[in-house]
Amino acid sequence: MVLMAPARCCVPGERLCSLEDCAPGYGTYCKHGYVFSSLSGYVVKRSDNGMMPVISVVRDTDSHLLPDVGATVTCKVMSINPRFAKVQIMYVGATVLKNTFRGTIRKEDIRATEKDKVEVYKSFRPGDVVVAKVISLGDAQSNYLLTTAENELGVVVAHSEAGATMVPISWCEMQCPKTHIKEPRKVARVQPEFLNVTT
Amino acid sequence: MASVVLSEAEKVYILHGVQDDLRTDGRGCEDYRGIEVETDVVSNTTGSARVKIGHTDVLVGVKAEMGTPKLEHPKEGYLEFFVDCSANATPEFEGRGGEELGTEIANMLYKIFDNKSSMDRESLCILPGEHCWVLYVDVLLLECGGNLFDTISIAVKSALFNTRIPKVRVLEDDEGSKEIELSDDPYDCMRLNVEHVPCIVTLSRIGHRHVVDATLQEEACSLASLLISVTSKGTLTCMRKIGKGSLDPESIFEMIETGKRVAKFLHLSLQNVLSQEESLGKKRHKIGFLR
Amino acid sequence: MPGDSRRVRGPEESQSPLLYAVPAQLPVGRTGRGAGEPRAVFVRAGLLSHAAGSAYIEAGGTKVLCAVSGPREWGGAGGERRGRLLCDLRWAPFSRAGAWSSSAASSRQAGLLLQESLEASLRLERYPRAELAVWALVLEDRGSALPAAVSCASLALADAGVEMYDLVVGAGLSRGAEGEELRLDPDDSEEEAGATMYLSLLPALNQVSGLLCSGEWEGDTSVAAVRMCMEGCQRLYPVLQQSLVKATKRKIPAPQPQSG
Repeated sequence: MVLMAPARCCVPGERLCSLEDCAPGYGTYCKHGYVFSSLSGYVVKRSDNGMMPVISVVRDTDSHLLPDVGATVTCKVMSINPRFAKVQIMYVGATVLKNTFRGTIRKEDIRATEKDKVEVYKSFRPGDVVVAKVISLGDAQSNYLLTTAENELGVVVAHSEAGATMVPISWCEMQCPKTHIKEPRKVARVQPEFLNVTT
Repeated sequence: MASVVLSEAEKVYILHGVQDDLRTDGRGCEDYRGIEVETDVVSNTTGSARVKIGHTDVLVGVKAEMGTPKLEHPKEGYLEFFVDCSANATPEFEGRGGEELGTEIANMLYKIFDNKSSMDRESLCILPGEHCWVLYVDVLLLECGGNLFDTISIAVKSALFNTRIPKVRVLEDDEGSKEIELSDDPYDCMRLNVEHVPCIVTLSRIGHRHVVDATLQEEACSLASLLISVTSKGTLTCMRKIGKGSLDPESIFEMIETGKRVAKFLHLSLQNVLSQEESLGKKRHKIGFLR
Repeated sequence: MPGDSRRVRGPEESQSPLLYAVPAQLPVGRTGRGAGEPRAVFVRAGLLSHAAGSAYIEAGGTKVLCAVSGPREWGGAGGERRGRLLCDLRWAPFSRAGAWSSSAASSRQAGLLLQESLEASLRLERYPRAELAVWALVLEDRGSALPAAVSCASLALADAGVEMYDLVVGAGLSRGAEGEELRLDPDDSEEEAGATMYLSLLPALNQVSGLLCSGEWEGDTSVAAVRMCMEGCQRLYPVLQQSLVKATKRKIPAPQPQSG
């Protein structure tokens, strides 16, 4: 990747180049065969080997990222109900959101298998931090719809009744280190780098 | 405003038709739908009119009451407008839904009557600084079928034409106290001169052309419209752009030309109809609300 | 602005002494600048710390401050794929010459005018189910407050990093009695005198996004007035561009050249 230096600053509506020279990237739009900027930021031209260079306008704060369909989000469970769990979306990918959004995880979207035997109370509790994926932007009545029906999705941080942070033991249980009580949760698969294998 | 949901195919159909100067009901781009005007429909008012253009139905009632003139203009009377978008027109107007639209239309009416020449306000004065006629113009929207501003402005002009204000005299006693005397003859009244009252013409931009008197479906296709208020002599009194889109400067100039042309014809035919209705007098067959 | 309930308004029959003052004879022409010359403008973007974007503009004596917040969550009506823009334009109680007044009605209409002028320039389809709120406050109104507010709001939106097609620039114009010359960027005495026009333009795309005029315009004077307003907008555009570039450089560090 080759970056053009020094980066110049541009304003919305400024004509950057013609469509024959570069492909439009983030923060740009095309009109009349030219690429215009739609943000005020720095012009960045990236050319991968052989492919047409892509011109985009960069502002370092990506806080206007909105949860999009298929994005992995990190959220906190606000309340539960026998049919669904209400969550507050705080991160999209790795970027923290300035304004939180509300989401819903329905009972049938918690697990991939045995969907009808799921009990929400045994999968999530209020206060848990959950990694989920967006399946729909929702309509007028509902919020964002999320799913945890994959091995990598589910509860990552949870607190036991005693107040300590629990340790995951299996895909459906977490144990409190103080009282050694096991609590049922829909646990996300722990990333291999965090596993401490003792022989 | 009431809106209809159109599919992409329907929008493209309307767009292509307008480009060829042929709209869905067979009109050209500068043609109005059939306008029906009837005055003196409500007997309790000082003046009233009902105007129906296609599916848009508007009823205007004018009540003249005595009041004190405004401090900045002690020798003039004034007009007060109130627009009520009732839930009959569309269920969206239930409760306070229609309030925003009503205030927008009322503000537009205030603006077009703001200048000296639209209405001779000095004729509404009874005693400078103390008494004057205040005309409360109430607009009732009965049915919404697109093109509200034009219909309302035509209705207001017709209602003001129909207004018969009783003649009053203010007598002063020896002691200095004033008395208001109403003439004995109930038909002895003052008429208003509505020659310079402007009419609003709405030009909606669809694709690369503009149309006059858009229906609800055409309004859904149009991103930007220009409201022009023109008097019978061709003077522009107020102009406003509404809608989410933007307009090309060249098309604005074209729209102004079209608006003036269309308004001239509109004023002429409205004046003919009103004088014709007046000349029939008592023999006129009242149609009212039953058709 | 919520009404001040503690204020004693005085007896009902009280009138302002200004009504009885003999009107001063205003000079026929304009003094100090040409008819087509706007007042000197000072613009700064990115001055409020808590807002996503902000801007301040001073044109002659007119001072307008604008803040933008969002995009934040909004329950869209029936599957809306487009974001929503909410505008609020208020006059401070001490901003206008004359008696204190809290005219809530006029500020509601002014907010709608601001929304119409700005909506054409924003790429709202990039923010589904989100809402952008724009709050503009007129601190002092010495003529042409609405055009200044539109330019300020557009600058604040660009400063907030909202995707837009182009900046929106506003210009005002007034004409005295019949036959008098057209004056660009009127101050408050010129504005009240006669017919006025307000226009907002997207300069790079040359599209008009807002237009409002009142008063009487004979023949082709309205066309001449629109052209003059457009020229005024084009003159103001470079100033807005420069202040936006300065604010961006201040706010965001330049990207480091990478190799790889």
